[in-house]
Amino acid sequence: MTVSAIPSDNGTAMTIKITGRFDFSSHQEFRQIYENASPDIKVYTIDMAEATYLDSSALGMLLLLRDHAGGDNSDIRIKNCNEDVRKILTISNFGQLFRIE
Amino acid sequence: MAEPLKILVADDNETDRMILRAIVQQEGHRVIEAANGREAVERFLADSPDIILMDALMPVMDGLQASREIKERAGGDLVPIIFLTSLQDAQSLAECLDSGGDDFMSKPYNRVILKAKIKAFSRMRLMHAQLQEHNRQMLLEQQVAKTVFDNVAHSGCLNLDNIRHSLSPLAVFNGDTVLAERKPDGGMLLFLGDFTGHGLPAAIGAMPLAEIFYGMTSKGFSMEEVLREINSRLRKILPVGVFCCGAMVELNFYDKTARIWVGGVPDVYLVRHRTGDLVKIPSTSLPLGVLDPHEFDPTASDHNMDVGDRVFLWSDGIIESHNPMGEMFGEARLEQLFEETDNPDDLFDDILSAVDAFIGKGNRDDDITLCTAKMVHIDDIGMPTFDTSKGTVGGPMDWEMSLELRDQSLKAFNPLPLVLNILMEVEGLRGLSGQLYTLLAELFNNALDHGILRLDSQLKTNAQGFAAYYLERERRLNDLDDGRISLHIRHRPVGKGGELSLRISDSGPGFDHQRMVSGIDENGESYSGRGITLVHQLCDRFEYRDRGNTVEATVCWPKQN
Amino acid sequence: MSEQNPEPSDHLDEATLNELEALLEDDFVDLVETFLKDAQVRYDELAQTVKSTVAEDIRRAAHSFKGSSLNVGATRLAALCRELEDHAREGRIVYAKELLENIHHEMTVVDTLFRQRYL
Repeated sequence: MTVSAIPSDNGTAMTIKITGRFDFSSHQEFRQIYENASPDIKVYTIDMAEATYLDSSALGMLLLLRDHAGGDNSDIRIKNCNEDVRKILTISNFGQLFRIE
Repeated sequence: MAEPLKILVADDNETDRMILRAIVQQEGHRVIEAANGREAVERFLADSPDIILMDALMPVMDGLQASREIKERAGGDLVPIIFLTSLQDAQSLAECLDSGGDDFMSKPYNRVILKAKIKAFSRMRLMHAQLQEHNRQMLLEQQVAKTVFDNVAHSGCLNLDNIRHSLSPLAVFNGDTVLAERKPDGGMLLFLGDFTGHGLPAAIGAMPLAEIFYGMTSKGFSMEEVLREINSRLRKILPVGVFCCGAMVELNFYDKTARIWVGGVPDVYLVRHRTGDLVKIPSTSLPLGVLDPHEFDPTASDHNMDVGDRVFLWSDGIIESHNPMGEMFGEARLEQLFEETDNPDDLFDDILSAVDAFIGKGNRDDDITLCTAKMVHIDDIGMPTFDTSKGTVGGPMDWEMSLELRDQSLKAFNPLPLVLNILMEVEGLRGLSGQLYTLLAELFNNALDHGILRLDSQLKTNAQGFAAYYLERERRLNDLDDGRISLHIRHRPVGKGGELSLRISDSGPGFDHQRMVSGIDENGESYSGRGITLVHQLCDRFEYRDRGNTVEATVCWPKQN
Repeated sequence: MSEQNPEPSDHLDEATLNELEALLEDDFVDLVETFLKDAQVRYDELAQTVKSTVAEDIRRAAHSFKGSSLNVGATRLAALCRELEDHAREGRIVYAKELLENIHHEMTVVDTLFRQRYL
């Protein structure tokens, strides 16, 4: 799988695009992206259009991003989920923590 | 210079062996010689060389066959074999590698290259040995960790007849846990959990989880209280991103009800024994260890269960298990098993064999975690016995205490585990813990539900009523702004035993306990007054006082059976 | 012997021999003696296979004779063995007898050269 990041809105927003399986193997890559991101970024959008699957490690990574982005004050959106991905997010009730669009 | 190695030179040509021996010895290594393949295998077994230089064509047994035999015998150890050959064609060279060779070298020998190869393989051997050592160490550590975990998690009451579960012996390292324990009031809590990740990080959280689960359940805490404590402990100790998906079920064998909480695992299934109907209970909570304690709200749903009805809990392992074509088992296949079954009692085995058949023989993952529990009569399952021997002889014999709970406390605090804990200090009462808890729960809940909240127990006579009753109870409890319940408990020594007196008063206007303690529904089953039999069995004196808002019970021990 | 004074460089590879001498030191003489003894055995084996006319057997015998010749720098002998090996691989055994004679002759040359020089 690959992770790529596109900054937008004058550097106050970032879209992280996930391609393929989102699992433990992407841990390092995913972490580097948000750790190297500018502190000005207020809104993160995770684009799952090309993501085929995510496992519980991926859920853990999303929580790490949330923590990094300010915990309860963070603004993280997850969009374009396929049915499998949406199902996993629903089962884990991550809708309570992330805006799933 | 690197550590000297033992190098086996297998070549039928004596001049070749002489040259090779000279090269190898010059590097400070020891040489063992063999003149054909058979000898090479024998020398390998007798002297366990570190590296083998093997001629491809030899009489008696050629190098390819010898290589195959040696690799087979070497098992997990790395024994590099370098083929010595003047063969040039790709096919022959490929055959050398296929037979287990790690490299080849053409004649005439180039000393520089041969030395470099020996050095390279020596490094590789070292790395392999380190890897093996790490692996061995890791297995050892896992074994120790597992022993510790098994001591903490023991088997609870998973061995009861109404529970079946499937859990690999090393499941704790896949992050999977199944726990079950009886409550002092005769009920049971069942938990299936699935931590994120694998290995030790996944196993670490399971220990405090199990400890909290067993400790609190056997002391009579409610499912919500157990879940809250597990959540806040895991939140505190686990790093962000590590959490526990799970489902918990509280079975009440008196009321024939189940309280079910699902947080992050697939739907829990409830199967009706009589009709085969399937009720799916979806996940409504975030997993344990994600939210801060004040944000965590373990919403559970209540369900009636007839005798024979079953609940099924699983991690995503079953649904996500793959067949050799890479297809997932999926929920549809699982649901089909439930639709097609003739006997829900066979479902547990049906599921395991269907998953086995699907993923193919021998491919069974270790993370097929599954658990089912059946509703039974309390008489069939009996009351739990807890090992409460704390070693104190006698304990406090002559004492009394009062505890008054005001409205704010009544909303959020269950005093029963605390009170039971104190009672259990009296050694003579320990054997009665289950009954005492039920008695306390019966009297306290009557005072709260009927005395303070003024709920009508008639509501509880059917399924809708039961749900309505609890909804109304929650609403009234929320709105409560005035009310108190006081518990007065006294124990004194009498002869060789003792006498325990309980007095529970509430600030309500009083209620008709006659109906509370003898409520019998149309099937002749006690619905709300399950305590009446027990009250008469256990209590030597029992009466209501004042305007019906005070009850007094006296229990003498030892009991004459 | 058809050649009374063979030119060593036509038959032996100097570089290989110098290297072996440096490597084996006192044992080098042993190596040469062993090679000469072994070459006789291998030649007899090869002659046996040529008599039997089984191409595969000829190929194997020629192959292993080639290997041991190469290692001691007997390049011409190795080349002849290789020629025989190649023919045998193709199943052509008509030249086998002739090549065997050439090999025998080369062996005597190598024998002579080694003895003159090292023994």
